[in-house]
Amino acid sequence: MNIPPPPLPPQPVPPQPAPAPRASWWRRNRLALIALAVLAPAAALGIGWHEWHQFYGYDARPYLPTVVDDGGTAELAGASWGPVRSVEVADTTGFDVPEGTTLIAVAVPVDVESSSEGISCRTPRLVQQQTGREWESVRFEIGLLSDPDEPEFCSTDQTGSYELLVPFVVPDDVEGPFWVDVWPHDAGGSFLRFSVDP
Amino acid sequence: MTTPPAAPARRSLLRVVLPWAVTLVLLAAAWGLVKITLPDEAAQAPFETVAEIGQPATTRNLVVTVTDVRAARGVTDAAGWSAEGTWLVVDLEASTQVSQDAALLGVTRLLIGDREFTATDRGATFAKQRLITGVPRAGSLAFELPADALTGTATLQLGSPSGAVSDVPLDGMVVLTIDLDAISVENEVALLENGWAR
Repeated sequence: MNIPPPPLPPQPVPPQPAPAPRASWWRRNRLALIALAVLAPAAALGIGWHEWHQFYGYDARPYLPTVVDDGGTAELAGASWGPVRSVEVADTTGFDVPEGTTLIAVAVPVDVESSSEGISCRTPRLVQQQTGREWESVRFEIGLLSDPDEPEFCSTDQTGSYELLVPFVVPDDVEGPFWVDVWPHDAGGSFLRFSVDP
Repeated sequence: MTTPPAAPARRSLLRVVLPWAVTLVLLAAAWGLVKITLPDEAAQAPFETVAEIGQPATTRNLVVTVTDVRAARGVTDAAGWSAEGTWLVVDLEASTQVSQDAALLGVTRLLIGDREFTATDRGATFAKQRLITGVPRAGSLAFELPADALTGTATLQLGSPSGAVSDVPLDGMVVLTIDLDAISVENEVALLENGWAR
């Protein structure tokens, strides 16, 4: 009689060599992650700078104010500016000024440093400090013609010291204090803000 | 035992019909999407403020009161210039609210049916006049029209461009609907002299 051998107990499976622990996802992609961390901010900065430059660049707009206190003076772009004076013109006879408004005259003394070449600047504008509302010169609207003795803007022809004289018409219900913004052309984005309260 | 032959046949029919059905559904969806998509310029379209005659209409930076609409076979301005033709004259008062930066009444359009007219730059009119913050200026716009155009409904569009010269993208625009049939055509009308609104 042939007796089959008894079944062997199951052999323990020889332990497979453990797979090398896989490096974590962060570690495997570290090169790409470093590149992302550098390139994403660089792209944001580059695009942001480009947009900013399109708007503010090329000396297109003043964006860097230098605030000058009441009665103060400041130097900018080769000239000394101020102290700025302002007055509410009480007697408007002879001027075309509508009812319910105030005529404000602003005088900005300019002293050009160079004796050979003057500077150029925009006509100063009036800004209500509380709201940021802006007014520009109304010389022609109130019936005044251009007069070289009362310049409204600086011209490179003019050297030495002179004074800009700018009239503004403001509704009666608008209250000061105001800024008088002066922006020389060679100042890039810098401009001067004189505080006045006529 | 045999399987009923209908099941495989139905399955193969489905296999033919389903892609076509999906294609048709997708085509219909694409067609619908094209139909409901707004035109390209809609993303930058102006915000319209509907005006009424005699009532101030306010946008971001522009306040306009249309005071009268007149029609005539000839116009004269304050300086004595005159012109024959078919004219629609819009008397108005306008001012800015916040900023006078490039603040002109630059958009002056009249739409009649499919036709678009721009206010004339002949004579002394309010077209491209400077606006002042908070202090309205008054004057007239004159539209020279074909002789047969004074019927039906017209739409007047007014805006003060801050960037592009003749459009107000993403900015406010004042819109007035004019019933041309209700306006009596005079022989000649005088344009208001540009000046402060009184």
